[in-house]
Amino acid sequence: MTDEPMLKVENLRTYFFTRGGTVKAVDGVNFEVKRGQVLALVGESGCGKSMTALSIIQLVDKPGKIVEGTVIFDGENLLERNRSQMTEIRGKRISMIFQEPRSSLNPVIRVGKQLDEVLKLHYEDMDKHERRQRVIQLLKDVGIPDPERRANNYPHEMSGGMAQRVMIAMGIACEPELLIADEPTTALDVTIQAQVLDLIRKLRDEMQMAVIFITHDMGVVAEMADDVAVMYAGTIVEHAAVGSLFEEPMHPYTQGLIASIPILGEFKDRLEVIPGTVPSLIDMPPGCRFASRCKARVEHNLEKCLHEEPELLEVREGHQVRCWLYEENA
Amino acid sequence: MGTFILRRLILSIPVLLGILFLTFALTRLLPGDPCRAALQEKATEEACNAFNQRYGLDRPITVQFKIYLQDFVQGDLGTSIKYNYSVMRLIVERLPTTLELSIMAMFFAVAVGIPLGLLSAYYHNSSIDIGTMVIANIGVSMPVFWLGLMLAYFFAVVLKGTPFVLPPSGSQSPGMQIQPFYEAWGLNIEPARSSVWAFISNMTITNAALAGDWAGFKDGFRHMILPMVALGTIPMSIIARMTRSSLLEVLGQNYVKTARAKGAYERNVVLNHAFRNAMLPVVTIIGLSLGSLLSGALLTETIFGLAGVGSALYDAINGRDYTVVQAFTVIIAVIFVIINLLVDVLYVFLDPRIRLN
Ligand SMILES: Nc1ncnc2c1ncn2[C@@H]1O[C@H](COP(=O)(O)OP(=O)(O)O)[C@@H](O)[C@H]1O
Ligand SMILES: [Mg+2]
Repeated sequence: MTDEPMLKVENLRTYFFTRGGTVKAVDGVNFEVKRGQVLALVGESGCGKSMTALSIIQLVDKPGKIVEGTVIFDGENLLERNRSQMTEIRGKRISMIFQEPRSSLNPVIRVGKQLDEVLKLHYEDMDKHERRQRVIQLLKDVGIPDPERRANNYPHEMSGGMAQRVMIAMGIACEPELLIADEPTTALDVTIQAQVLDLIRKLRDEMQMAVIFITHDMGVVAEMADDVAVMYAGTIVEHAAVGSLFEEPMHPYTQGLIASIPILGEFKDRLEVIPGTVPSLIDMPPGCRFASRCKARVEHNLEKCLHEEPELLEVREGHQVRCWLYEENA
Repeated sequence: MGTFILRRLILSIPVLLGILFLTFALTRLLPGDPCRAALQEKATEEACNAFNQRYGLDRPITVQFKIYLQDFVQGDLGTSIKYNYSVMRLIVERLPTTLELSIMAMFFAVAVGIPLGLLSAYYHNSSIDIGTMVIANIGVSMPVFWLGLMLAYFFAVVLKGTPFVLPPSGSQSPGMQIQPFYEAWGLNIEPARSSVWAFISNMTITNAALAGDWAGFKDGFRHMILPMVALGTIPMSIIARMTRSSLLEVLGQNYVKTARAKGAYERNVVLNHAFRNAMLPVVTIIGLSLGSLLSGALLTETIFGLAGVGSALYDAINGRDYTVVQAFTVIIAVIFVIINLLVDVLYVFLDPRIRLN
């Protein structure tokens, strides 16, 4: 195992060109993921997590467009590949699973057949019989009881948890090097959520996949991640190892997110919420994107935040943050 | 599936009874008197009494309805007041042309409309999309009779003398004799005028195909092209627009994103994952447009001089030929019920989610 990152995203910008203006959904994102590592991408909904993920496999729908950046996967810039060359990567070397498992499966095709399709697309020399066996094995691997019968189910005949297992089976069918899971448990109830998280962790250990795990739930982050990148309004504001991030969150936004985690058994008068709303991605104010909601800015009486955007700087070993508070530490 | 169809068939019975009642009531409500219409200046008091007695028109209306129902169940649709022969025979003479025309028009509408809609959605917002939708929007707002006349003018007059000329009227060229298919098959039967054999052999193109008469088939088909296009253009346009919008909607669904994330080619995504889902509302639209197709067929027959149900029904209404009006209305309604049943079956076949309940 080398230390070379499996995936390296640099200065990625994905914009939506709408009538109302240019929506800068992803605006200069950098991160890397190593083999066998789980990187969590966290942030409020609408901050650009999904668009970052979709940009990696070039599935951003119109009017969205990747306008800048590189996505280096195994030494190669994926953004230089054309559409048909990307189909060789998708599903085989990088796979992605989505938030809403039941609507992510085709309602008119049996789940076994949908699984079979991935194999058919990427393993030309597998015959029908071999594929069938592999489908059953995959369903078994993701913990679906009675897989022979379940393979003949239609998605509407399955629960959300079962459907998400099928999605995961589809995601790992070709033993990808990178799995992107976009809020895979958000639509599931808590016990099922824990099972699905366990499953992803187990598969990661067995297959040494790199995983990008997208969530807005800090509790899930603590459970799953090795590294965490916190996104805010299209940019990464803090990036650190999970321990470091929870022990010493540096960005005021991250501090707010962590303070808002409900802790079981602990009574709080009320949960902390971050006041205010995310600025419009069309007219981004100059300066720090979080400035308008930032208590620390007021406390420290920082003028700069309103006029100049801070950079993502390494403030401590392996801990990067985009905030003027730490200017002199860098 | 079997029980589903059976259940739907049983459910059709009350619908059918309703149709029988309505057509019966509506024909009685038509202003005018059948005796006067049929006998005209010969309609004296006595003649009319005899006439009414003969056709049972002197009985109380409830009794008339009862007799009507009884006869219907026995397959007897009555006797035409005007032609003085069984309505069944009139149907066997006229319905085949209308049926063949409608089926061809629908085939045209589906075979052209769905690919157009597909192309349009696939090349969304491109010049192909815009061009296709302009055609569809013109097509949907074009009255059948006007389009029919324009087509006839263009293909029969403007293109006269070119290889593209098409006949503007009739269902066969003069002098064209096609053997009934059962004779061509060497079957030694002399079918009654109101039999299934006669019915099928009255469908010009089908008969020619069954008889293996290539020249006759080509001739019949050439005669049907213009009526088919005239009649099929509106449903074709509706189907194209529906296919496009439905496909565009489906292409934005999560499972389409999943298919792309699997590494499927775009063509595969559209044809295997999106298409079947997109067809659900299109099937409904096809079923519905068959209704307007039947009324359009009557107009088309008039323009292109085809001896179908249209002219027969027109004559029957003018002549207060109650039995014929009733019979044709019921037949059309029954066809409609059957088509709806087929649409439902197709729907179940396309969408597994319906099977549960
Ligand atoms: N089709 C679209 N048109 C315009 N803007 C879009 C479109 N899709 C997404 N966006 C913008 O991209 C931003 C990021 O979306 P997304 O990546 O889905 O957020 P999330 O972090 O919740 O996954 C959203 O705030 C939205 O404004
Ligand atoms: Mg999202």
